[in-house]
Amino acid sequence: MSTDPLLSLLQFADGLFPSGGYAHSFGLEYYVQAGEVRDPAGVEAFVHAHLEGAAGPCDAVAVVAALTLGDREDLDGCLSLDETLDAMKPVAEFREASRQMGRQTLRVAATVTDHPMLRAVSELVEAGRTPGHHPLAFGLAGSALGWPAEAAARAYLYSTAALLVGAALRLLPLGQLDGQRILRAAAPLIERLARETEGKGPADLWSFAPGIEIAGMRHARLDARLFRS
Amino acid sequence: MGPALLPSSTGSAPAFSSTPDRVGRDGALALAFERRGGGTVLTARRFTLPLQALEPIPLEGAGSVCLTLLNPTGGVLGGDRLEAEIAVGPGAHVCLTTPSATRVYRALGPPAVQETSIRLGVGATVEYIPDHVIPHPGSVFHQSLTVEMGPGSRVILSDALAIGRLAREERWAFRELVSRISVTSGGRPLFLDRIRLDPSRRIPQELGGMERFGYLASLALFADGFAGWEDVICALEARLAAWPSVLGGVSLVAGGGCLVRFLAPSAQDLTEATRGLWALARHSLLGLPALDLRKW
Repeated sequence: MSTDPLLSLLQFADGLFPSGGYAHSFGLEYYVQAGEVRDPAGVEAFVHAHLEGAAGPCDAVAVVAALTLGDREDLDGCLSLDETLDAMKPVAEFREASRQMGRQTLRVAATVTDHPMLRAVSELVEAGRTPGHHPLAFGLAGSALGWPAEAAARAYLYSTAALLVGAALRLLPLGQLDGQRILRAAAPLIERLARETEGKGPADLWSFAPGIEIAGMRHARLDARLFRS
Repeated sequence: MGPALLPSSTGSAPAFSSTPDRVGRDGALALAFERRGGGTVLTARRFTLPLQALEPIPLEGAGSVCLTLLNPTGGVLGGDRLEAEIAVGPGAHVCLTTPSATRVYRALGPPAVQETSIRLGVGATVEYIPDHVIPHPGSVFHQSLTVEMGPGSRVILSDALAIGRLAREERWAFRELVSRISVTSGGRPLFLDRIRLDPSRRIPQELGGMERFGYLASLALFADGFAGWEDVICALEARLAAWPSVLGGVSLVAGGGCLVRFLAPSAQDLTEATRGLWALARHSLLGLPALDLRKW
């Protein structure tokens, strides 16, 4: 088995990775149906707001915290982080998305590695004893596979941005080149947000994206939907 | 509102910090409520200015009291540390409010800190409906609200902020606003809201953030053992839809309970929407009619 952390990081951050993320738009579908996002500039604004208001200060920090907890084999710390993430995601569809992607990530990670913490958390998730949020799962996979913390945060944020751009390509008449331009334009923000996770722990998580949260709440009441969030 | 301003117990002058390199005042408030003879009574009240609590006013019919928390100095200053601890005993029912918005003034040095903790006994009920926070230019404010629920207890809480003194066309002129809300039950978090706003780094005024609105509000409802959340959520959504000027949504939170988040264009819209949603929350969760605090 390869021990190259770059290869395993690419695998877990890849759009092909079966996390189930393709079924989610994290509020973008609501913005599109409401006519608030209709072009590449709107998609870019949405992606930046999501990264800067939620994925960066909350989820990417949680990835780094989980990686450290995994390295220390601190199971109680992992369960407490999972509880914190569950209580910090007040939008039911976003919470469910994170749980689903986390569960899938843990399943794959437990299949391709042999790591006691991953196995323990995986079993508790399958038994319904802890929600198993995506940042926790991704961070524990990183601990098992030897990813440097900041690289794990960057990869997590990149795959989040790629997921949102992928959703945008299905919701709007955008070209592939538009999508790649938006993704490339998010790189400086991803770099900064990943740098800002350094040294942070579970107590440092925060988020501020009220518009996206409201979009996520209202999405649940849309009549016709392509996405589950 | 209301009568009786004089502190009946140990109100005292502001306690200035004893540390020479620190400016600001240390205000502490401790309140305890108990259920006695079918009503709720205030059994302990201690405070040091700039925190103060008025006389509790019994509310008709429900065995509950309403109490106004106030800061008679008119605002929070940089370096202030204001700590309130409120214990609500088994079966007691308390509504806590403020007489007006909390103004946070310019801080030259350390932040203004306001920490409120509320502990509920078995079957207790708390409604915590303070007015919104208005951060003035240059202000640095760190606030926290910690609510520990007891078995069978119920909580309705609101939280709101303005992005500045909007009547003066002033937006995002504060230095920092950090706000944390934690609602736990049996040591387990039901709802954690942690925000951090630093306009020198980012002004989330547009899409995804404040959506060009000036006021953000949350109303959160929790009731241990309550199972009818879907109906409550539908009713709250219908009520929200009655204010076209307000943009909001409602969702079930993880541990049981629901959250209304909304954005309002003016203080009047904020106040009216909060009042309407709170009335509905009171009706559906507590089976009680709307409460008119008269200050409106």
